[in-house]
Amino acid sequence: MDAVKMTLIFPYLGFFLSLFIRSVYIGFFFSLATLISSLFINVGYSDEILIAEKIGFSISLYVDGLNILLIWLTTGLFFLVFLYAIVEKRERKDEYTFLFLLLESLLIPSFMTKNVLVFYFFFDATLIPMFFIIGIWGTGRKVYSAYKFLLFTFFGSVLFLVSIIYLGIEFFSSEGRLSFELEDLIKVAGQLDFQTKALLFLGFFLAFAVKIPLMPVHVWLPDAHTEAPTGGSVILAGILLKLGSYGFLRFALPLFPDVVKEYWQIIAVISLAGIILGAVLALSQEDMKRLIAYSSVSHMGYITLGSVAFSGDKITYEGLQGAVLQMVNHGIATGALFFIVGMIYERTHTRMIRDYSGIARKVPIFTFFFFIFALSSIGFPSTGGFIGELLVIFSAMRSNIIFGVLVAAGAIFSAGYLLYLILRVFFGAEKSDINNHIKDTSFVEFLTLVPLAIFVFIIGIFPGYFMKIIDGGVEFVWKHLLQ
Amino acid sequence: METSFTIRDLIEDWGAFVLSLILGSLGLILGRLLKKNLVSMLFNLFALLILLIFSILYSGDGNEVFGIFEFDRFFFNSCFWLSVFGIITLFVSFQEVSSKGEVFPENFFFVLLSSLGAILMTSSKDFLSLFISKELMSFNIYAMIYFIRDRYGVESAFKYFISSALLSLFYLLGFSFFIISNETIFISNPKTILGILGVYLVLFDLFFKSGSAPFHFWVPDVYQGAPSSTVVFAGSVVKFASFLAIMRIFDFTGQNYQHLLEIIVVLSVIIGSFGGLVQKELKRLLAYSSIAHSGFISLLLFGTGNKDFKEFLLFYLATYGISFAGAFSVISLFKNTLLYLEDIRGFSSSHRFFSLLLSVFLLTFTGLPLLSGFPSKYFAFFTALSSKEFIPVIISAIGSLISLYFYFIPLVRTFMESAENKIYFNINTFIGLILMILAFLSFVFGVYPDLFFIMIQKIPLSS
Repeated sequence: MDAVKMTLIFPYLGFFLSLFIRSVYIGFFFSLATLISSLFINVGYSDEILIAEKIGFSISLYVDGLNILLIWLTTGLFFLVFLYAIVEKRERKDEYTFLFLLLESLLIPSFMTKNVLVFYFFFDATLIPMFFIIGIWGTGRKVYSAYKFLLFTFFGSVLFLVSIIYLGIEFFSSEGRLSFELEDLIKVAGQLDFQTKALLFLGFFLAFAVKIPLMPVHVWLPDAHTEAPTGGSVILAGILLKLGSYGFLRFALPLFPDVVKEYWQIIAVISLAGIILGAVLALSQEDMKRLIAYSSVSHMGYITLGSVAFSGDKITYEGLQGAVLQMVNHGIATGALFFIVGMIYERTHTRMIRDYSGIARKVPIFTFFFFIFALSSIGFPSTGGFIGELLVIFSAMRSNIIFGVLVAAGAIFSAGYLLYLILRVFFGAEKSDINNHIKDTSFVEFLTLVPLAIFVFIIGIFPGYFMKIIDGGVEFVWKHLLQ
Repeated sequence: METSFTIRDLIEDWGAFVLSLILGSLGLILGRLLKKNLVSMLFNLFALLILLIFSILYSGDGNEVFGIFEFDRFFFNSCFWLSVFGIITLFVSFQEVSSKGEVFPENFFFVLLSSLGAILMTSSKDFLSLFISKELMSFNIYAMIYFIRDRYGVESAFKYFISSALLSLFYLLGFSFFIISNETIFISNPKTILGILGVYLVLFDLFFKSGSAPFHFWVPDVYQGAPSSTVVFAGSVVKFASFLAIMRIFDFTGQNYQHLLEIIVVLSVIIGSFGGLVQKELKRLLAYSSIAHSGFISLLLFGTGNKDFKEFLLFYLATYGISFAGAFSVISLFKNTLLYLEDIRGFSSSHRFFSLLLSVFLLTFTGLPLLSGFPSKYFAFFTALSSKEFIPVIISAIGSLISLYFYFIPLVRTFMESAENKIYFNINTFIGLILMILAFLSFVFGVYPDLFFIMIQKIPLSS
């Protein structure tokens, strides 16, 4: 039993125990155990567990620079969600624990596997717990939002499944055995004609585009993020969106390099539209959570832009690096922003910006943390966001000067809406009705936010260590795109 | 065809059937005399258990029993699952009959007879024995639908009877066409155009029994009006047996009825998924879902001639039967005759265990991963895509997206809304236990489908 398998098994154990022992502490302890065992994972690990031969279902576990940071992000954020859940005021906490452990046990293998069908399995299975999390503990139009999330995501993924099966059948007819391993499918995909490949890529791309989300299909995100409970928003923004961008890097790019090469400009334009329009829409929001949700749309655009930025007929290396790093940065910063908004909402029961003013004097610690994470989102030097955004802007500049200028403008926009938000909510004249009963962080809330803040600075000040890890994974994608 | 027949064959191949019939009728007589449901139920339970054990322990070589029944691996597997579903039906209908305070020991004998008919249906090699076993299966269901003598029961029993009889006439007409064409009753490749027409007419009847569109019109009314225990039977056993019989016909005639299947898949999926969207009653909603699933199952039939398609078909039918039986067993515990979606508001806050079970079965229908619906959907898509049937697959994929919406409506009512009226629900620990096993099976076959294929190889043990 090595660290990877323990990381896989602990959430499952917790999930089954939580059926019988109804306590939030089950979630706390098992997510802690998962976190600890995930820290011992070696990069370069690879193993295969055959589950079902008949359907080509083998969990080939594979850890490299592309996913190790995301695995740590997953285990870390889940631990913090459970830590916060201990003090959170929430009904039916036992079911909350149960669903979050289920979600964690589905997310970790989805990041680890190299089998496309198994990835789809976990990718789609996450819909079930997330639907219930939004629907049961959400606020406002929760059922509507849960449905929107469910149907949009499933809409994308249904054709993804058809594409995967088509590739598997092609492999079956050429090799005589069934396999959905990435390496095997890459071999087959190379032999198909361009038109078929483009259609198959569309199936892949649609699933990831809805999940990331890219511009025309992003409409589920503001509702789902806004109405989800705090933990749900954190996991949704921090990890579930990354499932899309990770899948794009891991599967869509290596499988269809020439399709991406042909159509990368379209994807880049869509991402740019997401960056700019997301920022503009964020500026006009009145609900804090909705504003951060739109900022997610904007920031996820950097990731897709970085993943497809070609310079000449070669993909830019720093774009891929930036995309991977930005996934982690966005997970930390946006996750933390949702934590803070959720904590404040629990005190005041309103998320409307106009209800707040000048609460910084009452809640200096919240203000401090919010400022740090906002700076990381903006891409302020010395925070993690700076490195990621810089790399993406570099790659955009190299591929097309107009793209570069627009991305840089998007970065300025994000400074605009986040600083304006801080200005309106935390500073300015005090409003007595809110300020009278708002309290600063409790001890557990402080503990929840501190590790995230530390990591913002560690990534920002010592990017070398993280870049070294990421390089191993980026080379995987890079290698396949060179051919 | 020459048939050799000895006493040994009778005992070895038919002993289990004869014994189960004797036990069943004994139960019927004793139950009637003593006016006890339990007596009849227990005797028929033993009868079905004998069939179950027979399917596992059979050791004869009877590949062709009397020359008209094919005792192969698929027959024994079907026999196994059909007896399992029969046993579940027995328990559920016992609960339902006793909770209504009726004495109706015949019902359990009907379950046995109907199961026997279904079991023979899956092994018939000729159109005559297929017809007889099909009628044996159907005739008992007419009576089972009517055992709660209310307005809905009468309506659905009558509807089912009339339409069944009509389609049986189609069968007989097709059968006679076939005899004229091939001069044999054995299912084989039709020689003339008349014979082809005959086979099509026979298939219409079988697709009618399986509840596929465009022969679906009886499904919503019968599922809604019949007692839930009968629906458990009709949805799992009848569908199972008729699809197996269709598979046999496809196999023996050696033809791929591609265009018929395309029409059936597209219509079933579209009618099932759009029809389900507007339903306000849970049983009717599941009836439309059953139509949509008939479409998915028909996707598997595209693979006629493929190596694995029969096993995939068995997998789909067995796992679908498990979740269907589970869902309607939960519904049978409600005291309402009609179960409007409004009525199950806040069901989870008062009956957490049963609501969890109901949600497992409903999620299985959606085909989302984790539960056995996903491998089933995957097999269906895989088989159809292997035969290059793109349009039915794309339409089914979109249909599964649409039906996702209505499967979640009961879940929303159950988990996300609070109760307005009191929920009238019989808590039955024993059925709860059975349902727990079924839910567990749904989960196991969902994450480890190979277990099922290992089981196929192991039944019967001697092979």
